[in-house]
Amino acid sequence: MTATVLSAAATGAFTGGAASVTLVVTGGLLVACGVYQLLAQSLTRLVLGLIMTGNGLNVLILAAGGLGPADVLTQAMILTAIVITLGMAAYLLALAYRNWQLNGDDLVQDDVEDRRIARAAHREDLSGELRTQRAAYRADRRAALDASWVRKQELREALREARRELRGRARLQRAIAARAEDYEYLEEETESDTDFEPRPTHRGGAT
Amino acid sequence: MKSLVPLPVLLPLFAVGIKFLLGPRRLRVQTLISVTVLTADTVISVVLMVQADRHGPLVVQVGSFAAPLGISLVVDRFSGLMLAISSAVTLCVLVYAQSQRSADENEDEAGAPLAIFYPTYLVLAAGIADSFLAGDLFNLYVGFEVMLTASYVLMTIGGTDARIRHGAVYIMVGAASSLLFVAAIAIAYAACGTVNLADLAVQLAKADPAVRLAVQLLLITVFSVKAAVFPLSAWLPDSYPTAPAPVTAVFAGLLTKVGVYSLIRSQTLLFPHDRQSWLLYTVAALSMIIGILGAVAQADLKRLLSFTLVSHVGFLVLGLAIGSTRALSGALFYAITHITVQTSLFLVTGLIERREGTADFGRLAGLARLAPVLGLLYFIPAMNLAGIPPLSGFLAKLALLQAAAADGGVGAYILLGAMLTTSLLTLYAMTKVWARAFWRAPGEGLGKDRERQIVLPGSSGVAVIRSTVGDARGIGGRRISTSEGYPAGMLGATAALILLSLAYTVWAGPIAEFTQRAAAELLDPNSYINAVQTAVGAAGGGH
Repeated sequence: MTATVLSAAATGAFTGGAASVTLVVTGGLLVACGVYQLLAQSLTRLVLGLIMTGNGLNVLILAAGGLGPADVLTQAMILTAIVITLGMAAYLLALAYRNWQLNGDDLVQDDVEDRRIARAAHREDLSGELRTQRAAYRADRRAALDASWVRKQELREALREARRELRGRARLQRAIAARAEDYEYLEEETESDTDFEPRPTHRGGAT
Repeated sequence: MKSLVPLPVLLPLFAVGIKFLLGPRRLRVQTLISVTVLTADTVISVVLMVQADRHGPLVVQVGSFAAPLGISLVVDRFSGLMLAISSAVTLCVLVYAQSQRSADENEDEAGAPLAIFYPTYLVLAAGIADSFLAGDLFNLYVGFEVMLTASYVLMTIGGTDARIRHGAVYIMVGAASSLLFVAAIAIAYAACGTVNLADLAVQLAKADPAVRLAVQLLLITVFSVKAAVFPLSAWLPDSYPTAPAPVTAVFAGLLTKVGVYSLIRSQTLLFPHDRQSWLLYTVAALSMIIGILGAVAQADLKRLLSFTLVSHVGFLVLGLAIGSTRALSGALFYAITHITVQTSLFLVTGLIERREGTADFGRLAGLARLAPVLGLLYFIPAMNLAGIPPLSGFLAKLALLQAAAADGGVGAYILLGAMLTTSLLTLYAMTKVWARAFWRAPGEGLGKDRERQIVLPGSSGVAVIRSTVGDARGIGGRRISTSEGYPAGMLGATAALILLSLAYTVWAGPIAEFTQRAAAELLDPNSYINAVQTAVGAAGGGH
């Protein structure tokens, strides 16, 4: 902003010469310092910033109008602006004094709503932390569960393996037993051949 | 007839002088003077508006100095309309404030704040009138300063902790934007050698485009701060709710509209060809959407209304951004509707505070049953603000929607969507208040208990603090003593404003025709420029 004011003031300073350059540089410096002060939190500094910026701008108006005695308009405008800045400065000083009476300092305080939002943000941070912790806990728990699940699966697998083995063994035993029965039967049969009549087919075949 | 033009500025200032001569004692005489002066103001403004409509812009060169040097006061249709509405609104709010004061008088005997209140209020009225009448950039600056300095006093009146805290922010933002305004004037004067608006319009067209752009952007920034357009609106919802109810009402109704007036006036008159439409489109849409989202999140009626104010300023900027006759006409119609409606909503909030001691609708409940009058007084302007069909808010928004559709550009359609969303969310915010404060069973709210337990961050203990945000305070800064009755003046002033907004609905046709003519006049700056320049000739011939 200052740069624009400066360049415009420089183009408008039609008398030229060293005097108007001095004016423009002075005005620019005052505005720059004033704006820096305006960024402060203390009301007294703000008053200083207001006065410096105001005066800097007045000097720039003067530079804009040129230095000739003919331009009454700039002087009228500057006088008006000076009066306004003075009134504002007086009012702000009174305000700073009242603030000092009430709070013991002259700082512009944070807004209540801002503080409410800050509190909400703090709460949000806390709950965010809680959320991450809960997430970590859940992850742990899930990991533990997973581990136990794997273990369970292993056990189940082992059980199934054991069952399968048992079943296999049982089948084997049954097979052995069946075969043993077969042998017994065969033995019985071979033994009984001598005791019983030959079967009709055998017999028929024989005749 | 032209001799009437300076009176809306002069009469209140004379009255202030007389008041200071009388001193704080004779309150009845003082009341009489204030009411008489503002009534006269209203009548004069209406006469001026009608005259400007019939015979073209009225121009007065103060002290018969020729225009580029002297001070021009100009009334055209636009400024006449704004002048008339603002005088009527200031009159109603004055009656309201008088009535509130006389109701508070017994317990609130702090004489000093009240002795300051009325003169300052009249200075505010004079400043507003001067801003509307100003025919040159520097006089506009002076008008702004008169208005703003008065508003600083009204904002911090009573000197309570909350008002000082929020007032400091308000004052610094105001002062910083005023400094930017001076910078803009300096650049304009350096480039063109004049600050007279009509002369500047001619000279700026010939000036270097870069300088013209710098002046334009600076002016847009300055007026956007005053009008509370979105990126520059953060100060408004913080500062307005702490001021006394009538002060908040008149600020909300008028101060931002003075900013909008200056924005429209400077853009249409000084920069008729390069409007920065995209910039204005963007800020208008953002104002509407972000403002109303802020409103939806609020728990306090005053804060909620302040956010809707930011949001609805977007509608007015939108009219300027589209820039057609129809759009500007819609914006003007919406401006007068919004001034009236927003002011009456804040006045109703004041009445609610008087009854319940708070405007926090978490604590309010059952007002529809306990105070049906308040229900009616809230409901009509709330529905008007949301744009429900028969009311004038709907008609103005419809005009803006039609203008956006007729424009047909991408930006216009985006804005059309933003407008509809905003209206819907406004309706949501208004019905939310209605459901909480009015429709709940009595006693369902948190009651009048002002103490809350709050765990402060960084401390381990639980602090019981007195919430000051929802605390209703009178003009003198003392806490309002609640009562179930309504002072007749407060009720009457609020009802009068609501009737005025209903009158816009009934006489929508003639008003729309008037705003059409005013918009056409705005879009053809030559009539304004010619009027000022011929007035130069007349003044020169007279002497």
